[in-house]
Amino acid sequence: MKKYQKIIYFAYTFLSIKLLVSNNLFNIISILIISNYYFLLEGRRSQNDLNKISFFQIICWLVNTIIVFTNDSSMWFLGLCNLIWLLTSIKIIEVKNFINIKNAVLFMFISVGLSSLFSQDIYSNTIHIICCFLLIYSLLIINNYQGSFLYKQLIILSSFIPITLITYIYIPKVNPWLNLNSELITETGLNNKLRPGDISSLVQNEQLVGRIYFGNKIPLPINRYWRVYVLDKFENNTWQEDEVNELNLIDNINFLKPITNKNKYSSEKWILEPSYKRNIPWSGKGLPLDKNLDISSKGLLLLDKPLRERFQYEIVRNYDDWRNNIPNAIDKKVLKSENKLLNKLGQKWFKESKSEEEILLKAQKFFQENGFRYSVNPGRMSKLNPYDDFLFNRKIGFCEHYASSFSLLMRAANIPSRVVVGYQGGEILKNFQKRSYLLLDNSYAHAWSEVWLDNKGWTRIDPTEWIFPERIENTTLIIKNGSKLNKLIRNFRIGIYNKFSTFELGINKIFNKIRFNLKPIIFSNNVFINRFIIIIIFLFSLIITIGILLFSNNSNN
Amino acid sequence: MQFVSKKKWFLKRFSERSTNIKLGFRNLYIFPNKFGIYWIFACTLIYILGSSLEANITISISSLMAMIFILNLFLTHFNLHGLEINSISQGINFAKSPIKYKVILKSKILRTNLIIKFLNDESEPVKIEKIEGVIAKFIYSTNKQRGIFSPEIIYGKSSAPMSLFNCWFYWRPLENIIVAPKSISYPENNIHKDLDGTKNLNSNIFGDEISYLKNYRKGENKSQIDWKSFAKTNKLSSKKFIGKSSNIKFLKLNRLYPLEKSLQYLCFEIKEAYKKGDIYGVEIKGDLHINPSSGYEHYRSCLILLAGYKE
Repeated sequence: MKKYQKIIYFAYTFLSIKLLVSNNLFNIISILIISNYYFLLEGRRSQNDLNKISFFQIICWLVNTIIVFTNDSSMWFLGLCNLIWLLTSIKIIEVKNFINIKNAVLFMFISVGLSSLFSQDIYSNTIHIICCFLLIYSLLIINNYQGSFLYKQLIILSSFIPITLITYIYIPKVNPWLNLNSELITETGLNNKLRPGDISSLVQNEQLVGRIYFGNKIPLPINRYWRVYVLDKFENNTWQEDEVNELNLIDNINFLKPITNKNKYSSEKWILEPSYKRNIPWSGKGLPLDKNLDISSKGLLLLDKPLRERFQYEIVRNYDDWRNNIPNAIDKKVLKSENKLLNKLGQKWFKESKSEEEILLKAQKFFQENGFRYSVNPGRMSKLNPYDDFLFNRKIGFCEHYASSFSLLMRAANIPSRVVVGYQGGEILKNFQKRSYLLLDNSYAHAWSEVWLDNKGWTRIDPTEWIFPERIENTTLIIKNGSKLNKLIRNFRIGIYNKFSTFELGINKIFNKIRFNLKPIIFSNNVFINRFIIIIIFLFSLIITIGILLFSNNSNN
Repeated sequence: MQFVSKKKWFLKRFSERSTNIKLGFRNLYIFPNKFGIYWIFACTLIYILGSSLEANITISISSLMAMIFILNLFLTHFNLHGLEINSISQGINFAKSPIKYKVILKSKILRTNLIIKFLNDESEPVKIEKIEGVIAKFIYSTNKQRGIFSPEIIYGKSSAPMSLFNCWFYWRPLENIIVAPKSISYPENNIHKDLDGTKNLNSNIFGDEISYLKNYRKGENKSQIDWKSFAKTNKLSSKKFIGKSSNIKFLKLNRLYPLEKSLQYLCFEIKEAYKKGDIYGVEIKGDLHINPSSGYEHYRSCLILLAGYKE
């Protein structure tokens, strides 16, 4: 095996492991990519055989993508990326036959670029950067451009870094050209839209969300509600976020000032996995210490930009003033054309009751006495009037069915209400310092309601608790009865995650500082002079880099 | 290359012949190759995706790719810049055999992966992995007929260090390609063999003793001057007499065969004589002859005479 082949295989293995670990590959594509290793390590195959393998694998990809796309249309981008990764793995087999070597390297570059879109934590970035340099090195070796000593090879490779950094910092960033959004690269998670069945499909995914450490004791299960989205707009049988309200932020600077000794107050410290979204979970009580975080008028914790890397933040004090924000018209809006039976029931309760508490009691009684059941797989409801179908016909549902229909009932009974989507519960675990924390994954996704009560403000009501209290009270979910192997793999992943995440957070802090220093220096207020100086710097660094590369090549012998 | 090389302006541009070429900004051309164009497409794709999804690491990967591309523009050029190629006195090629054209490459620094070939020639190009100091290389050309030819334009290309750009040059070297006749031995039992050629020369032209003419030098015996040739050519020549036991031969074109055939037989005789280290001369007709001598230069002169002969 030639040296450049070894290097290409090495880079490819790195990337494959990263893709497999980060769950970016569809199941069939994972199997195909792993099976391609067999062809890679086996003896040389004819080009005709390789063509047949490629054809078969592309058909597999097509079938798999059609199945995935039918369930979730937002997966088209991941499907295309899977195709590129699959083609790359086929190209890598061709490297063994000494053909298309340079094209295989190019495919690898594209694969690394696509992979970097999906995960940007420190480990992924390290793998991507190492892959890039290995690929550059392989291209140099193919052309006999290599130093006779390791340090000279390192000089050649590292000479690309300064000029790349200068280009990266000073090149003007263009506005997004394509109509792509972060949903395309987000792993399954909570969304600002809720349709019947969304959360029940999510809870079967055990993707990690984050860890929560508490200043005092871990709260009781009944108080473990972590809000992420508030859905106040109901249209086409879908609950969604009214974006007009979203940006009404509370100025929390004044509240932060008096905090001198945060230990006096209860606190929750989050270590959150990247979600590629601005909304991040919290208990709804307290104030964030991070200057990039803010609380919206609806009680949402918002980041200044989508979360792309593991993030640590702390919430202190018991402060939930947002609960007193008076409801908007959207919180009362009832669509009379949809779910007519539900609206009729709500109006009946309103007419029969003297107070809001009485309506709430009637609702509780309705859910508890009409044979409602809780199920992860409740089946599909009617398309036209799904909540009528749920309340008066099927009577089997998951948390989103109960929260949505309850909120609609309350609106019909003239009580402003909305649906909150987030997480409920969490698994109590201990870290390597024997400190207890709560671990959240997507299986704890939950939906509940908030109603406006005149004397209490926005109050949490969880109708799921009336039907299936075990869901709220138990720390471990019923749906988590996986096999022993699954549990073993999960515990192993959590163990690794714990060890590396702490290290990563430290590295991130350093990188954030470096990133701050890497901001473009403005040499002059005059735009043209500034650009002229930047061009001079760029040319100067270009000449130095070329000089280093030529010198290091000539001094080889 | 076929398209470009047929253009009149192109041939005019490279019509000047020279003994050597020193590659520099004036005679080197550079453009991204197919892989380089794919590279730029990939770089652009990654940049568009990175900027659309606001992924910094993706944008920096595209920056790295763009920088590699720009740096390679210079590195590929400087891989050839300063390289000197010389055409020297060429060896003898034979008709219907691959033609070899010798060039000398001089470089003070290490250069890698140069490919050279004759333009519009179907022969395999010469691949030179490393050039440092002075090295000699043969450029191959397809079979040619007997003759003395001005060489085709030489085309050299390099895409080192990362195969993103092609850097190339054209050069028309001065030294001619000499193609001697294909050497063929006389067929067995050939009746004409003894009627002409070496043996006839030995026994019949100068009687019992074989002689040949040489330019007269001062101090030589005046009785040896060949006055007949003086009367014809107005040049003084002295006759040299050699005994029958000597190895000296005078090889003559056998007129009993068609010209090309007899040149091929003569070529064979010359080759054989050269291999044996004989002293031999060649006569094609009348005063078109080369006096007997030995060594490579003499052998070369004889074959050049054969290569360039026209009736």
